[in-house]
Amino acid sequence: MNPLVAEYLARLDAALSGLPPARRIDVVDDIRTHIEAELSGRDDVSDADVRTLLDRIGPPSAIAAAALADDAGSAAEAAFVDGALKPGPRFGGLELAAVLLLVIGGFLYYLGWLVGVVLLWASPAWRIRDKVIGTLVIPGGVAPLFFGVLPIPVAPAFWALIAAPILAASWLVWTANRHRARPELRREYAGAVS
Amino acid sequence: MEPAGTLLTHLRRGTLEFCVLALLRDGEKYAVDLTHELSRDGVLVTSEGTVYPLLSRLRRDGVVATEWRESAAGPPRRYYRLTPSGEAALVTFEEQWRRFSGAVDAVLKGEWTA
Repeated sequence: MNPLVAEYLARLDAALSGLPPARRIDVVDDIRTHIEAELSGRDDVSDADVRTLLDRIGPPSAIAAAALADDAGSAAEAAFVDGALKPGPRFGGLELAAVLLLVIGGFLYYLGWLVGVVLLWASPAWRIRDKVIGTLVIPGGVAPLFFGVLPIPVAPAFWALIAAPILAASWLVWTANRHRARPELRREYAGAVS
Repeated sequence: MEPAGTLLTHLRRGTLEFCVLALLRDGEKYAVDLTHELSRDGVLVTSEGTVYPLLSRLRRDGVVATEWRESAAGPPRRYYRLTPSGEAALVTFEEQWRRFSGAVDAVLKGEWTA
């Protein structure tokens, strides 16, 4: 290989050090192939010819800048698509507070449960259907059982009444944000962006 | 005010990749020919080499596919062609680009009225 070419490729490889290794290898291979193709089939290649060719290809710093900008651009786009579909954690502080207050907030003079309902409806993590389930299945959380609002139940019914709010709460934890992370939605959105 | 070079860099971002796809619309092209066409006037790209990072990403994104072929003179040549998803991306871009450039032109000419 022509020493000018070897030196150019070494500088290019160094300039691309900020890229993921696979991308870096791709770009250096592509440019080496390009140079080899351009210089092949010529009888006598002078250093001036090589310099002219390398000038047309451009300085390694320009290629590295293009590669880094392209990489950063795609990464930013991917982050944007992710962020648009999944704002924050799947089950954040708001959701945790909502579920806890719905189940045990009744002990705080029912006010806690009321706050839980407000949080439930304020969170974007649940669909309307889940919010209705959360509101209806836990009327006051488990507290009414202990406050005697409901008649003192016989054993099986008592456990069923304890279990219902807990099951409903588990359902809320399970379904939180599930509808937002559907892969086909993600693809649709990614398609619209790119 | 931004220098003209920086402005061009910003304008290329997001449009250059579709210029590559558009050049492949009528059929496959040899990589070296593709870089020559793109760098013809220095508007679309500053130098031939800056096309390759883009080509490498387009391959990864699956909007282009490549094939190596033996050449009568010289090393094997890599040919690029559009994939179905590349064709779809190009159609979408062209629609949006016509709307966008039409709106910008109208504003620049003072023909933009509410």
